[in-house]
Amino acid sequence: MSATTADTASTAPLLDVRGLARHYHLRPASFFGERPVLKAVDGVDFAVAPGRIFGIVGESGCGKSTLGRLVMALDRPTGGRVLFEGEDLLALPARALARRRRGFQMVFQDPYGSLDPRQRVRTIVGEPLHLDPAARNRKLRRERVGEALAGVGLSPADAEKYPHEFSGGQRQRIAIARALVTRPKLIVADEPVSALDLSVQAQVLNLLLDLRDRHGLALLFISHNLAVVEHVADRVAVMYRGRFVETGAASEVLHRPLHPYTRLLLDAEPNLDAPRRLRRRAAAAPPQQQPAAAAPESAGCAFAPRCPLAVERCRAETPILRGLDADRAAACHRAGETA
Amino acid sequence: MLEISGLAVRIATPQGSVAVVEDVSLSLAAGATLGIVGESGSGKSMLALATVGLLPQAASATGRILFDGQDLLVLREAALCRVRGARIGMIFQEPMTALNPAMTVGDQIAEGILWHRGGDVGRRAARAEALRLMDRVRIPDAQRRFAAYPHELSGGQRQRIAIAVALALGPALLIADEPTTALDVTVQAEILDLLDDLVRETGMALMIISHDLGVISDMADRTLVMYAGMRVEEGETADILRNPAHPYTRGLLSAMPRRGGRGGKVVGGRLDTIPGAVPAAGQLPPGCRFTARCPFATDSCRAGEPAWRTPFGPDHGVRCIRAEELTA
Repeated sequence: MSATTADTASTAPLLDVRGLARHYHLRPASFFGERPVLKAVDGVDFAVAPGRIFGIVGESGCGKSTLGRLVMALDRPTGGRVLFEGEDLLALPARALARRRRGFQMVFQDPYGSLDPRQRVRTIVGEPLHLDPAARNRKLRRERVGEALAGVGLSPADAEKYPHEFSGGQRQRIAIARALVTRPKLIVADEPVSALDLSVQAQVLNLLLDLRDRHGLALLFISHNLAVVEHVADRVAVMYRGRFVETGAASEVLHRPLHPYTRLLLDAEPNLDAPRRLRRRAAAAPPQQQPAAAAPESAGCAFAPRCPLAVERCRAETPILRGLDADRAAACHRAGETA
Repeated sequence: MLEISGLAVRIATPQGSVAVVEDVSLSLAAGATLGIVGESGSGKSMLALATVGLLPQAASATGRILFDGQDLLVLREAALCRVRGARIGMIFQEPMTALNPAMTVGDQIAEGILWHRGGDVGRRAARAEALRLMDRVRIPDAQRRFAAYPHELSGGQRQRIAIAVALALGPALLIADEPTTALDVTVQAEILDLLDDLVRETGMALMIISHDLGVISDMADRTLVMYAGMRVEEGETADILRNPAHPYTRGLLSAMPRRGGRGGKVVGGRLDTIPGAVPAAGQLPPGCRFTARCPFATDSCRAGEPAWRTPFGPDHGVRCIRAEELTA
C-alpha cells in the first residue's frame, strides 16, 4: 500500500512487515449509531535486516507499542502480514508459533513491573527456555541462564536472588537476559531505557549495542526519545496516528527531516546546545495544539490540523509514504518542495 | 526572596534516622529560575517538599529556609498554611494525582482563591478569576472546560490546570517538581514555554526540579546538581554545562546521548557511562559520596567529606577536592 522501506537490498530481511494494520471498533455514540473505528496501526511497511537496529519514534498514542505487540504476535492485526525469516507468523498454528517465539523476544519499559517479584532471577531468566527443545534438561538450562546473565554483565550468583535486590538498571539487565536466553535473532525493545536514570541509561544502551555486535542481534527499538534513537538506530521510522510519516537512515532523518511532524518533534526536544528559551524568542507563533494519538479520522493528512505548511490538498487527500531520496520516504504532499 | 542554608532532612527508619538531604544551601531571587538536577535518590524532591513544608511525617528538616525573611521551618502549621498556597505554589509530576478527581477543574482553581481570600471574594468572583486563570494557562475553550473533571482532560491540559491552581493567588515562588516528565515531548515544550512566559510576565521565581539536563538547560538561569542528598555543584546553567567541575556533572553530560553527536563523548559508538548506581541513603561510602563511581577518586577523597568550595569565583560552587586539577 505504500513504499516498502527495505533495510538493505542485498541482505534478505529478518523481519518483514507488510501493510500491517490494527483497527479497533469503538463503542458507538448511540445505540443505533455506527461504531467508530480507531486505527491504532494503519498500514505500516518496513523490514529489519539481521544485525540492524530499526528505531520507531513517536509520541504516546501514535501506535508504536501496538506495532511492537503485533510484531511479537501478541496481538492479531486486522490487516497485513508479519514475516519472520520469510514465514508468516500469523498464519502459523498456535503451537508452531510458540516454537518460533524463541527467535524473537521482547524487553519492556518498566523493569519493576515486568519481573515477577516472587520468583528468583534463575526462574525469571530461564522461563522462555521451555520454548527451546535444545534446553530440556536442568543442567543445560542452568548453563544457558548463566550464559545469559554473563552476557548482560551480571554474575552467576545473581541467579539465586530476587528482583527487589537489584537497582532499576540491573533489573533491566535481567529483563534483557531473559530475552537473550533463547538466543533470539530479533529483540523488540519497547522504551527499554525510559524508566532509567541517565547514568544507567547509557550502560543499558551500550549493552544493547554490544549484543548487536557480538551476536548479530537485530533490534526493533521503540522510543519517544529522539536523541536515544539517533544514538542506537541504523534506520528510523517516525510514527504519527498509526502511520509512518517518515523513514530513512536515522542520521539523515533526524538531521534533515523532510516531514513537518519530524521537524516539530526535533524542535520540541530539549537541546543542551541551544536552550529553547533562547530559540523561541526568534520563532513564530506556536502551531495549533492537537494530540498525536489516533482518533477516528476522515480524509486528509492526519497532521494537517497542526501543520504550519498545510494547504488545501492536505485536508482533502491522505498523503502516502513516497520515496524522495535514494533511501528516504515521507508521507507529505509538500515534502519535496520543503526539503 | 528564598534563602536556604544548611538544610538537612532526616527520615526515621526502624534502623535509626537516615539523612536524605544534607548541607544544602541556595538562594533564589524574584524573577529568577533555579534548576535542580539529579537522579532518583538524589534528594531533589525532598528538598522541594521541605521548602513548602510538605515533608512526609517520618521526615524532619533542620537548617534554615528563609522566605521573605521568615524562617519557614519554625512557623506553626497555621502560619505556614498562609504562606503555602498564597505565596508559594507547587506543581508535581503527575497532575492526575495532584488534582481531585471528583471536583470540576474550575472549582479546584476557585477553591484556593476562596480558601485564602475567604471574606473578600464571593463564590462568583472566585469563579470568574478561575476562568481568567484557565485562559492564562492557555486552556482552549476555557468556558466549556470549566465544568470538566480531570479525567476528561489530556495529560498536558491537566498540568495546565495544576499550574492554574498553583498560580491562583499570584505566588512569589513556584516550585515545579518534574513538571513535564509524564508528558510527550511536544506537550512538554508547550508547558515549558508557558512556565517561561509566566516567569517573565509575573516576575515570580521558579524552582524547577528535573532529572533531565535538557529541561534544566531550557529553563534555568542557575543550576544546582544534587547527588545522594548533597549539592555537588552550583552555578550559572550555561557555565555548568560548558565547564562542569564536578566529576559527577561531567559524567552525566557525557552519558547523555545528544543529537548530532555533540557533547557526549562517543567512543566506537558507545556512550561514556558512570559505573554502578546511586548509593542508598544510609549505605554511603566513607568520604566523598561519589568515590565508588568516580574515575578520579583518590585516597584523600575517601578520607573525608569534601567541603563546599568556590575555586572558580563566587558564582560557581563545587564539592570536589580535585576540581581545579580536573578542569585545568
